[in-house]
Amino acid sequence: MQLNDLHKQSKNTDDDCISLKNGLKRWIAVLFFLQLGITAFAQKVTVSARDMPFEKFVGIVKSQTGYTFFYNREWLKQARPVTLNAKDMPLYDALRTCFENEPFSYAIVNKTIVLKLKASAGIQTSPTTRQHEHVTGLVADTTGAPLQGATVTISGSVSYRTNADAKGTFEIPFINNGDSISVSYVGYRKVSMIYQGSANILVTLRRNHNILDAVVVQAYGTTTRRDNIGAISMVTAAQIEKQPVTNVLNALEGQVPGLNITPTSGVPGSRTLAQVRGENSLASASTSTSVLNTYDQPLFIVDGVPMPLQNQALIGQSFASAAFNGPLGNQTGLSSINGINPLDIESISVLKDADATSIYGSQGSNGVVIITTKRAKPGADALSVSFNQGMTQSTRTTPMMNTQQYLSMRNEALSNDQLTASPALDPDITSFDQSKYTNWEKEFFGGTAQYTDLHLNLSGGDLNNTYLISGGYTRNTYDFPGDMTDNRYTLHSSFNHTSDSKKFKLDFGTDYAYDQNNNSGEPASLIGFTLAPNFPSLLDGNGNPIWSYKGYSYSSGYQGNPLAYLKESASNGTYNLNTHISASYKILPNLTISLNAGYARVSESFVYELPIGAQDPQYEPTGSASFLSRNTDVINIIPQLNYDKQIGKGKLSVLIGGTYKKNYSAEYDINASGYTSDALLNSTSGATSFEIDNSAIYYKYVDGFARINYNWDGKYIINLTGNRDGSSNFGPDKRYGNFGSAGLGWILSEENWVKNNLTFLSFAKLAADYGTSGSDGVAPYQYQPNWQVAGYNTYQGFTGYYPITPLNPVYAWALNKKFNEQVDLGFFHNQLLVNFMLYQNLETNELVSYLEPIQTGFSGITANAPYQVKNQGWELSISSGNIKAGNFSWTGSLNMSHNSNKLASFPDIANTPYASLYIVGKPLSDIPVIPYEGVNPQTGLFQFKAANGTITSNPNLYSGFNSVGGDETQLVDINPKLQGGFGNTFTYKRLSLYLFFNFSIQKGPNYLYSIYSNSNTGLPGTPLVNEPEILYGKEWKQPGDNATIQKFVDGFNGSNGYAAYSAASAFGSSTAAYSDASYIRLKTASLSYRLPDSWTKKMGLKNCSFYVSAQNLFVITGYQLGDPEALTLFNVPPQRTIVAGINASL
Amino acid sequence: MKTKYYISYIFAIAILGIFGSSCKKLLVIPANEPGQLVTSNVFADSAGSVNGVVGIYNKAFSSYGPLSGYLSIFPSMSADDVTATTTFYAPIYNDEQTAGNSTSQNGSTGIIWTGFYGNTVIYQANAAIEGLTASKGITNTLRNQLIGECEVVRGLSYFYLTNLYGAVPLALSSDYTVTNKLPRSSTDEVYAQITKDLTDATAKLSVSYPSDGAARPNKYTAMALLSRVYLYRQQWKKADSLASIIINSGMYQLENIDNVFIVGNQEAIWQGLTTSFYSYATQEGINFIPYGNNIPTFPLRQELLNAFEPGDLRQSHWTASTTVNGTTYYYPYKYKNRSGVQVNGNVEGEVLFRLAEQYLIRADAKINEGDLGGATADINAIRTRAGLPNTTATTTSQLTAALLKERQTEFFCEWGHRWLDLKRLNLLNSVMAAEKPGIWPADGHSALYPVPFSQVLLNPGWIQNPGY
Repeated sequence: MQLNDLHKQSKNTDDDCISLKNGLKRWIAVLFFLQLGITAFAQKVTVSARDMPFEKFVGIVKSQTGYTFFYNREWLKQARPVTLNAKDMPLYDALRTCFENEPFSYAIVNKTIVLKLKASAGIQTSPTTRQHEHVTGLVADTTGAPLQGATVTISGSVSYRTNADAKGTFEIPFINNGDSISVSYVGYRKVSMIYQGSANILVTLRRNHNILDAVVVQAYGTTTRRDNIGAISMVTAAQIEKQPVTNVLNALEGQVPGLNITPTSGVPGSRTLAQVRGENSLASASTSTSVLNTYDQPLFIVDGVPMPLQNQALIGQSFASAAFNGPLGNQTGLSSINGINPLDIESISVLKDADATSIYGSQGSNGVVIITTKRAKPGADALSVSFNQGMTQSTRTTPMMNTQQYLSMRNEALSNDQLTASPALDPDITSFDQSKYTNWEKEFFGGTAQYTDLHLNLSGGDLNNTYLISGGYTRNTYDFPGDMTDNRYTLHSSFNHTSDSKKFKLDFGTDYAYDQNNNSGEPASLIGFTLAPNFPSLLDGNGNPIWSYKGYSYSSGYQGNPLAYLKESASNGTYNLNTHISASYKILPNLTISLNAGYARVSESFVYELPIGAQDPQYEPTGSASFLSRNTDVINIIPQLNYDKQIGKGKLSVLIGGTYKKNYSAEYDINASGYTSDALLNSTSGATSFEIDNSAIYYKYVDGFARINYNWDGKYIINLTGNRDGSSNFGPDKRYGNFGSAGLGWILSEENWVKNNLTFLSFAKLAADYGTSGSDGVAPYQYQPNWQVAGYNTYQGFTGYYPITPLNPVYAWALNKKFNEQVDLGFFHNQLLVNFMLYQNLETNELVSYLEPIQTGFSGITANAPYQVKNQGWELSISSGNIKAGNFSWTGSLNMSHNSNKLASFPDIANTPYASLYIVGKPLSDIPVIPYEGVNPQTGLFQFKAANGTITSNPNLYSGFNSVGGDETQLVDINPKLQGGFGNTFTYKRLSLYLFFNFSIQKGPNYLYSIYSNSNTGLPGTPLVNEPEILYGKEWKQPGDNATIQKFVDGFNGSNGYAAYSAASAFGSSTAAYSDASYIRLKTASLSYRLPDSWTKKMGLKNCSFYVSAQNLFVITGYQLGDPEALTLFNVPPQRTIVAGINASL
Repeated sequence: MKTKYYISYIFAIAILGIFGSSCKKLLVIPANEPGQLVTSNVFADSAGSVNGVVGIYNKAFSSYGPLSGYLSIFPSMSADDVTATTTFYAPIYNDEQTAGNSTSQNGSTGIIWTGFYGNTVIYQANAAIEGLTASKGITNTLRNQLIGECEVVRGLSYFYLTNLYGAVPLALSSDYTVTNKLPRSSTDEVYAQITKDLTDATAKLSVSYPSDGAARPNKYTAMALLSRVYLYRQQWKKADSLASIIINSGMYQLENIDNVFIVGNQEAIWQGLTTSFYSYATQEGINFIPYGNNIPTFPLRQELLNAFEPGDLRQSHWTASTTVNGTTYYYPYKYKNRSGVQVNGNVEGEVLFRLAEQYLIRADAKINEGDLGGATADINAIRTRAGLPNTTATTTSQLTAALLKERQTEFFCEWGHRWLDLKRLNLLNSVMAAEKPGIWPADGHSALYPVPFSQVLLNPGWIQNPGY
């Protein structure tokens, strides 16, 4: 609380007795000063009153004109009943008529009718009150900047409310000593004080650092951490802005307990996956390998509009599409989330439990991520600029063998296979330069890329109308050979209007983004680093690909010519539009009606060109090109009614609403081939043959929802939500589902026994909720027996049809039952806040492509699975306030979470197709593996312990738990045991340092898994394929050796190669292919310096700061080779980005 | 205040718009996905109905379809027609290279099982029969013809399934809740269904082809398969009489040896057209004929080469050789087109049934019926076309042996004839043990292919074929 009376106390000593003369003088002054609004005369009233109590009359005038009255309550005792018969009488006349008999006179100030005791009335105010008139004040923040729009409320003997103007000043017509003045402003701590007679008041508001009362964005509205009983975590702009990332999901890693963020590649623009509280789906869990087929992700909503593509990949195969047997399988590609500029985001709320998500019904099953963009705030026009520039490099690349080591490996392989080097198959030994050495790892991943980000923000406005426009440009190049870039241009705007009466509010905004990602359409170039180190040059002096060397054709090798692949250009142009309008009107003081409508569209165009010049001329190639385009639209309309009422000591809030959503996606593909000129590849006109294809997806969704919240005296909170959903994804009889939740909260710290006895506890809340949410996550039309055209080639003129789905009308909503309980504590005046949550989710009736034996015609049929998947875990977050010691201050935060999942039940699993895939009671993330038994000293092959106890190099690669003959008798759980992050901000004067670490304790496939389970490069020893240096010298060479790596082989043909191949395949499914992949990463480090105000003033700036930020600076891990997050050697490694920048505003 | 009402109206209309209109209407989406039809559309009229059946051929004869030639390759490796020079195919085919690796997981034969049972053959035939039966928009003539075609397809599928795998599930419905828990039906039950399908198809199909040439089954196609079924079931009279009807119909004649596999020849009773990229070439041509100077993937085995008598046109016209690094390899050359190579501009198609087989079926039946003269005449008909003199065999056993050898040299690398002949004549164990010593398992379990391991896992309660 801050109250500074800078000005001297006013010298109104004779206020006890107001003389008429004095009064008149003042009246004239006031009238003159305030320039009585002409509008007052235009206002008309209709009153038919006979002996109406004065107070009632005041109410009628108030409701008809919107004018408020300002008077001392005590005076009403002397007021006389009003008798007036007026029809459309001008307000001025009406007031004059009725006030003739009253002991008051009046004046109209703005829209306030100020009453004043007539001296002739002879009434005295009570001697203890000292009345003051025309008191002025100023509201400013701690830097002295005026706070336009701050709300000033006077209560006590008078009741009055006004707002500070653009200069931060406000006027109080009357006030008595002892009345209370409170001043509030969004984002600042409210200040209350008792008026003691000063004529001028200066109120200084401090920024609100009380996290408890800060705004938390929830479903269809906002709440505070104090009142919220659900599981919501919010990340604000301050946390996002410090991180130089293109994809905002990358900025969330480690920031939100229970949110698992997984980048799929280091390629600029590549996808990052997000998952809330574990995997719910069996369809997506690992089966025989660690490849995840799907990966259930939360619902993404931007400014109330669901994102058209959610977090799907963009169309077209690109450099980012490489899968290479990493644990993410086919989840790669370019991200559609890049259409939002992280700098345009105000906050991101992650809704995790039933209380928070149930109102979204079917769509919130996997959690909800609400992205809110920046809104305009009242204030003078301000322009701010942020610019940074930096570089990006690959981290933890894989050192490969040098030429001498490589040749020794190859000769060993040939001798193991009893082969002699032949010029056709082994040019690396026979014809290549034996001393040439190229570090291909360095050639492909050793480059440095550029990162540039520019953001301009213009905003301003008055109390009723505000605006914000911002533009951004982000450029990211690839640290890979070739001319590849990701360029993004964004335009964000927000306009807000509030009517004078504050009853009508309008919020309108658009986001537009254009992203152009130019890369290579052939991810195979990513294995270029495995070229033999003595491999000849790939390009000639002019930069054209070379395809042969001394009779050896590069095309016959595994890697071909990776630099030629880079000439296969793939360009993704993505256009994102998101526009939303939200209008609300307060019909009654307690009742607001509102309408939110949004439209979002993503247009993608993808062009792939395979030039003749990128292909081996010996095959007389022609050029080909693909032109893909896809438009995805979402229309979303949500009408709502909000009702708030104080009932007893409690506040009731009711929300009723509905949703209409329409999704439409249309894709058109043209594949053209037969070009004889590379110059024509940008058009279809040079092609000789075409494949043309189109497809579309329709989706409609309606729901009705309600939320009832009752908060009794700030102590007891009950929250109920309900939702009835309809989805077009289901058969006509199965389209509707009901979902709901109930939550209870108890704020203990409001209880006197806590206040009196546990003084160290400034806040304590217990809350629990239980509820359901659903999922309609299936492709449309799966319920009917669909057929499609059999192919391009006709059978005697008939294209023919073939069936693609069976008749299947029975499946319906999946159901996720969620239970969440939490303890929320604040210590030391809320300088330390601790939140601990326990949750348990049970996924039932999951919609999957249920495995079926092939005699049904299909390998999977859409169905509600009979099993239940349970996810449970805990989340802890701790945050500190701003701890100060002189010029030094510190804030810190820590969060961590643990999730475990298991197949809770599966009725009669033994008689289902899942019998051999899952074990009831075990985690879905468990991978069955074969016990590894080292390298056989005699044969030199990896060996394993079979289910029957024998040691073999050729075990049965099936689960030994539930399938006949399987040798996979142990389990590896790759689900992280503990994940989290901790951040610290140190501030010394104007210097500030932010360090954020994220960590994970987990197991994962190791580098040996990459090497031995990768079909792209063959087994170590394969002609022309280099291997990581780490293998060198560890391999088996001769009988009797106790080696850790099996013998090198030339290939997997022949019985020797076949045996080695079998053993290597088994190795990938063995205990030795998984190891600890825990890590702590310095995710973000940011150092900033704010110039002294005196300097910035001279420069004409409001403020200015310089900073250096780094992303992914280092990682501490025991994971031997590769990145513990990427978990594969065959992908673009995670990138380290270091930028320097400036933020300035004028 | 006017604006107040104005705004309230907007909200009221918006809310009424959403809740007032029926929710059912709000969820209406087009009746089907773009580019797709539902069963009732497909069989609503004659054009759709034909497409609903012809789709089977379009898919089945395309590159990886179950009728695209795998059945000429895999069983030929299992028997003694060819061997394989790549380990990819090795494990299941009793190949010397990978003896001992013959486990049920590794075989590529799964493609046969999943190909037939998948949505484009047996399932589609089932769905089409149901759709055609219910259709109100087609004539009975068309209904009969199309159902007959489906029954031939279904019969053919089960014929190969039961011969290669033994007991197999008998899926006869498009309702997955009926078929997903099927047990494996015995060979007798499967044959009963095949016979029923083909008898019905014989009645429903007409003599004239529904297609240009023999690209789709006619009445004689159903009879040709049925006569083979009767032969396998040792119902000699029935086999004899059906083969005779076909031979005597006058619609077919034994072709010049060079024309047997060319589209439009007079010998083919059913010749599928390939719909893959190289529409003039079959999978046999693509797989058997080596590229450039490469070693053939499937060289002919010496036993087959030894079986040809001197002057046999089938050796000179239906096999060829190439020499790589001083070693000469022989390979099947019945089909002469392969990707990028079209010999004499001919178009080749997958010959499933041809008249020569009917001669040899009838010869077989007649030997068993005691009509040695008739049998000899039929065998000689085939020998004559092959440029060989009449057979010298006279006794039953001599004729039986001569017939087997004739079938070996006539049908090598063609639709698994050799493998199935050895099996139905109970010669498999003795012949294989002699020709593949140390590799052919003593218990003879290799006579049946393993049910794909994944399918055994998907059907709890099923028991894998013994030995796997």
